Amino acid sequence: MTTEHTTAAPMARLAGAAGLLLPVAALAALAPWIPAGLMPAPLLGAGAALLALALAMLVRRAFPPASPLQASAREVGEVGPYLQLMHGQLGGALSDAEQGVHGVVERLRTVHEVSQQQAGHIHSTETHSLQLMQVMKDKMMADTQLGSILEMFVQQQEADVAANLERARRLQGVKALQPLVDVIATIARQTNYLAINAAVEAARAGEAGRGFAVVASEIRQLSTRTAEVAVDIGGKIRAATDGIDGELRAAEAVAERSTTSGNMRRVLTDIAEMQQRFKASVDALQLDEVIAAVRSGHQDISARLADALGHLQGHDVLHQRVGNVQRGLLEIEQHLAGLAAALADAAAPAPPPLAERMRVHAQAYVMGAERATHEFVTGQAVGDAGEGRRIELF
Amino acid sequence: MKSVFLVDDSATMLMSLKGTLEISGFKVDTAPDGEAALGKLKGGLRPDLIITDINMPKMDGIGLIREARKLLRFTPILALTTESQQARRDEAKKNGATGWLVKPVGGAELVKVIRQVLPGA
Repeated sequence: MTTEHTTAAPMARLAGAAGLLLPVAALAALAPWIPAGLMPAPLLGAGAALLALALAMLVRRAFPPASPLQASAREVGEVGPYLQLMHGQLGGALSDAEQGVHGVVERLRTVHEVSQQQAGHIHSTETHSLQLMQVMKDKMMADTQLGSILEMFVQQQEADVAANLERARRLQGVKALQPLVDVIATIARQTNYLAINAAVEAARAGEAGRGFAVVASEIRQLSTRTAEVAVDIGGKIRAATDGIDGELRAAEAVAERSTTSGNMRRVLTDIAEMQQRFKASVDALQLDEVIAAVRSGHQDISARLADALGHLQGHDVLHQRVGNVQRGLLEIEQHLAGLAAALADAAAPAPPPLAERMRVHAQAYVMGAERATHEFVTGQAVGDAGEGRRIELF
Repeated sequence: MKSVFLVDDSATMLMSLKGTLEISGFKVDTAPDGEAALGKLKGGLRPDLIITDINMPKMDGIGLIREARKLLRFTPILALTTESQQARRDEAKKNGATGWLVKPVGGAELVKVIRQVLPGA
């Protein structure tokens, strides 16, 4: 034993060691007072382990062991805080992994929400597209009906024009009556001359021609009236033919204006072409197929996201296995503490055998993989094989 | 919409399974252990399906299956667990479990099993 290990100056050495370890120990000691939200539980565990390590180093420097056995006992006893540190590290790793998994879950759900919104937009688009298609179909039908009506109207108009023209032309036959009226007038004039001559001859005959004079007078009056009627009829025929000429000119004018129906026919042709273009556009759009493809894509994304989320159960498996490892570390720590106590004090009871601890520890296994690893490392089987079907419906 | 009641002491499990099932079109309720789950069932919750972990604090999955079966005679109950011991599987079956699934089960596979026990889901 050297002079520096005497008990004369332990306080000085304690102060020296404290100078080195105080900041670390202070941080570790403060850990329990830091709000839980800022200091996760595994970190608190690691802080406690750090504090224990710092204290162990202080004690080691202040109170050196008196014998090799005591030194060994102290060494064994100091393994505990290191095991606690590893326990804390594993806990921290699990906590970090858990936060990571939660982040993944949230992001996958966000992806699903975005996909769902897209599906909603598609559904809305589908509704509007169907409405648009219906409007287009209605318009095409209305155009077809309008075309039919216009066609009928044009045909009727053209038929009316042709009929009017034909009628006007037929009525012009009335003009042929005018020469006949002229013949009648000429005959009436000649008859009048004959009546005048007959009256003269009757006057010469004296008493014997008196009756003949009366007849001549009557014939003259008759011829005069015939001439008057002929003039009247001639006037009426002229008036009628003038009207017919007017009608004919009007009918011809209407026939000339049949360019209107030509324009209408061009409109009809345009409507028919437009319908063809509409139909071609509707066929080319293939909205049904596009919408079905997008919807199918969304369903596929949802199924894959659901599957991916399910696979995150792997974290729970990891959590449980690491949790068992942590418990194993604490059991080893307890065992080493017992050993240290037994080494330091011969009167202290010996701890239970490590094999017994491991046997009890193995009883806590729930997974076939844990039991398989245990058997592979130790060569000892634990429980049943647990190789039943992964999915079994009873 | 069919409803599923998830019981697991792992927040991560509840979070991921809830996501899987909601995306697949199910309504989901959750509880962190058997005791809380039984409380909800006694409070009137009537899910179309229960999926429970086995190893949980307070009341384990076997206990929950036994007690839930008293309340819900025909509701399918699936155990979803890391537990692989045949004895536990037999115990769950004896107490009224409908099926046994060993974690991890992929989402697609899980939904397929659910649709088997919940026709029309």
